[in-house]
Amino acid sequence: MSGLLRGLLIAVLIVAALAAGSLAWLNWRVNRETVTPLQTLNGDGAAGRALAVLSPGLSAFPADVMTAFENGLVEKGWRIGHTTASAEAPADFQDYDLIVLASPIYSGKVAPPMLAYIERAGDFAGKKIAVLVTAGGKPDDSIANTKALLTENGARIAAAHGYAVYQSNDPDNAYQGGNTERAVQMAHDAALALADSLQ
Amino acid sequence: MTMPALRLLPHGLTALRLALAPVLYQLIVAGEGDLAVIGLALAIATDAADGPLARRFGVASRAGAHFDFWADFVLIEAAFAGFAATGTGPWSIPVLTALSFGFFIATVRFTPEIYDPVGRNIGGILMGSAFAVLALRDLMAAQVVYMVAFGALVMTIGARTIFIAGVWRPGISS
Repeated sequence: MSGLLRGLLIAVLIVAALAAGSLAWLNWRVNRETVTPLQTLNGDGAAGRALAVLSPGLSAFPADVMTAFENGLVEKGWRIGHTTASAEAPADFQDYDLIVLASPIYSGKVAPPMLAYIERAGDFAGKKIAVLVTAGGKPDDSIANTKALLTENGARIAAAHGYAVYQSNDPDNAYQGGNTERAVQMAHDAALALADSLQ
Repeated sequence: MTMPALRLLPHGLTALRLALAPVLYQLIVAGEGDLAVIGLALAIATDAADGPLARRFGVASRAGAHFDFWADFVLIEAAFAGFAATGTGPWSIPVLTALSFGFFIATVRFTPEIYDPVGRNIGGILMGSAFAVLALRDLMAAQVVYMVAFGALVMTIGARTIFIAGVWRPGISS
């Protein structure tokens, strides 16, 4: 075997080993639930009460989208309970007018901690839910799947928005900045619009 | 096409790859994934073609090899800086890429003596990684790709650092 071929084979084997190790670590990381205490935003807000549950994922993008959405609701006078999807997140929704669920999409599905949270919650008993998903490409199918899952669990979908990294979020060019920056601005405006519609 | 024009073709292809780099960055940041993947595929095709064409037309030179090297570097930096600018890719990869290419330049005269099978193919590994991120468009697959790219960069930098430190094969560098 020539030196070049041998080198190439070793490079391929090393890359394959790195990929296998990365996959194992990622599988653990993606399935791991992040536990955070319930934080209250705009405790004096009287327009409505929302529970915002975030599955943070592997990048800051889902959290940025969720924060922008929460800011929009706060601007409209909503009081928000913010937490992450875990076994310790509230699953009793009696005190809330709206549930906001935000999650990245991995392999066409919402992140495992969010799926587990939805399963644990069981029956949403007709509560209004806003779904925010972030994806690499077009999120349409993932939004439809998530809406179907929530509807099966008794939720009423009040809003569902998907934001992509490598697919234009703003084809009408109504916002400024990079694609993910536009997504954050759009999430903020989506919250304002939802708050108005729920008045 | 006349023979003198054909002899310029390899350098023209390399120049095209260099020109595609800022375009690729803009397309990634703007979320134009379809155009970005086409642009990167075109750039990779120019990388595959310019060397063999230069040898075929008898215009292969040290300057041409340097031009090819720098075009690869700028293209890879543009792609991974674009991923980082979206907020979904790590900035460590463009930083390590710059470090890795710097180490390569510093140690290029010793390359035959350095055992660095990953480094010899690092341009292809990184271009392939960037292509996979844009073609697959799955946030988890992208993370796997980033980790592979990160690992490959750490390995080549490590191999060359060990060589420079004279730990691996003492005496070669003296």
